[in-house]
Amino acid sequence: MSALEQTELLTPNTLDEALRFLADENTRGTLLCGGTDLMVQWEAGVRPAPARVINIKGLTELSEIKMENGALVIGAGVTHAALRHSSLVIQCAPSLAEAAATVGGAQIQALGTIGGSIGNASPASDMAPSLLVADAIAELASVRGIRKVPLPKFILGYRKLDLAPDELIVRFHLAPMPVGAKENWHKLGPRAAQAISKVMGSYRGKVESGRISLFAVALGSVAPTAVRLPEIEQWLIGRAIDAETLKGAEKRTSDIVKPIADIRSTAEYRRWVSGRLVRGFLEHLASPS
Amino acid sequence: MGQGTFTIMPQIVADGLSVNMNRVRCPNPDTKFVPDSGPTVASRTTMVVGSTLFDAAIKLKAQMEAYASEAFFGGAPAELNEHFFKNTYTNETIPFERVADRLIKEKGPQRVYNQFKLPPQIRWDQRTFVGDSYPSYSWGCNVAEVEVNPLTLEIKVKKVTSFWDIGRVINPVLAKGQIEGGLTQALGFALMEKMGIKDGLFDASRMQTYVVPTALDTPEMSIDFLEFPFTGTALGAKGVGEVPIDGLAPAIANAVESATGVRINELPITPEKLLSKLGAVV
Repeated sequence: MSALEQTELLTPNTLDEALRFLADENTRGTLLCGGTDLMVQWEAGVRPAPARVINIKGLTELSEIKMENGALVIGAGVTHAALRHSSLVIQCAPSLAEAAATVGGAQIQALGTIGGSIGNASPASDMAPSLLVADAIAELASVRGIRKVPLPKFILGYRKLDLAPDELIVRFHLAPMPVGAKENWHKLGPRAAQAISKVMGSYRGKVESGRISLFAVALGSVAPTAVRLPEIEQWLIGRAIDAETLKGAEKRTSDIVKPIADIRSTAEYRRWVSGRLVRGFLEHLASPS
Repeated sequence: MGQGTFTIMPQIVADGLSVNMNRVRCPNPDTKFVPDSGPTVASRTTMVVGSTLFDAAIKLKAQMEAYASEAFFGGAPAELNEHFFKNTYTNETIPFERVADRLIKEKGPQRVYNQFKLPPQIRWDQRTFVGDSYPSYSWGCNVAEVEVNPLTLEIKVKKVTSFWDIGRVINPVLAKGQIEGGLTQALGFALMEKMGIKDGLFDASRMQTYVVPTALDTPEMSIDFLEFPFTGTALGAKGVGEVPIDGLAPAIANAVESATGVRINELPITPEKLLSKLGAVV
């Protein structure tokens, strides 16, 4: 028997209708927008199948990518496949496009969405680090109105979000990459595709007159949520990228992160490779291309 | 999917009979009709079952030729060749169907019985465990080209070059496919697949945690055969079942050692193990 045999399915036609469903306890349900995480969790028994599902796949209000008031705005229902091929995303948040290209495989990329990846609140969300380095703000909607919450305050912990039962993630607002800046994404998984990461991360940085003027770095799978590393970022501002900086940033990063051991990797490797990723990002920033 | 048994057995029988392969049907094995020939183990199917069928087909061919000689050619020797029986004295030919129809009408379906015999030079003493426990072995040689990322110790196999002696190759396409599959499985064995036990339960209990290679992990493969037909049977084939998985993991271990100076002697070879061996060197 399918885990969803007893589940009621509601399919709203508009965002307003979806919000009204969420507002009423008699029609409230688990939001589904592709189901690449949820369907697996329900079938595997990781989470119980819900009594009601609200299918928001197909709500056009959630699938836009656009520039608005100087911000890159990405609808929560935008798929990974759309992200990796969007020229706007490639230009304004390239590490997000790179990350989207490493999610699962082609089928998961075609169905899975950025809103679902964040909504699943897993420390291994491939979307989180690139959103964090772009200072992303989550826009939440309910019949009560709109709330805008910076991502670090929205993702509260393992499987924990600052999201009321009647609220829905509608879009993310990202600061576009400044002119002359660079980004990069690195995912370490147990294999080349269809992998949940051991550690992954993104950075956004800029060098002016030989010194680092901007450096934002975020790592995933090293803590209960994806994390920015403000101590490392502050330490790096104003420095030239030389051997001493590389060594210092690597060591400081490994000292700061507190990863766990699980079936995918060891705490020791995760700690070490976190420092190596930051070193790699600095080398990328210093490279001529 | 599958080992290709239902393709190569008709091929072998068609070859032994000198008829077209589409004249041969290979029903599912059933001991109602044939004796129990033992399990498909030790990569023995092609060598043992294949040879048994090949020799049986040759016997059946001789039986049909003897009938054709007697019934059609007045005792002159007959030779079955694809579609015809040929009188080797006069070169007169009779279509296969005509001979077969009359044979079945007169004598009923033709059966032959053949049993695999170990080549006489192969001796094994079950009491003392002395001798050759198997009549022959297949051999392979694997070369792995591996990149270890100095930043992260990630291991990527770029190319595998391999040579195989599986005796006479019955079906090169299927044999290569079996080797590609075996090498891919060996890649998982070498770098990914890990089944531990925690509190009495497998820790990798699903395909999410038991990691096998994807197409993106699979390297370029060069596969070539060196054919040394096995002299102990008329067919000359050996097995290709298990041998493709045997050599690649050691080859990768050697390549990783050559790249990093560190020998990992427990599979899978992972960046985590490299780090704990390399320690402060990196």
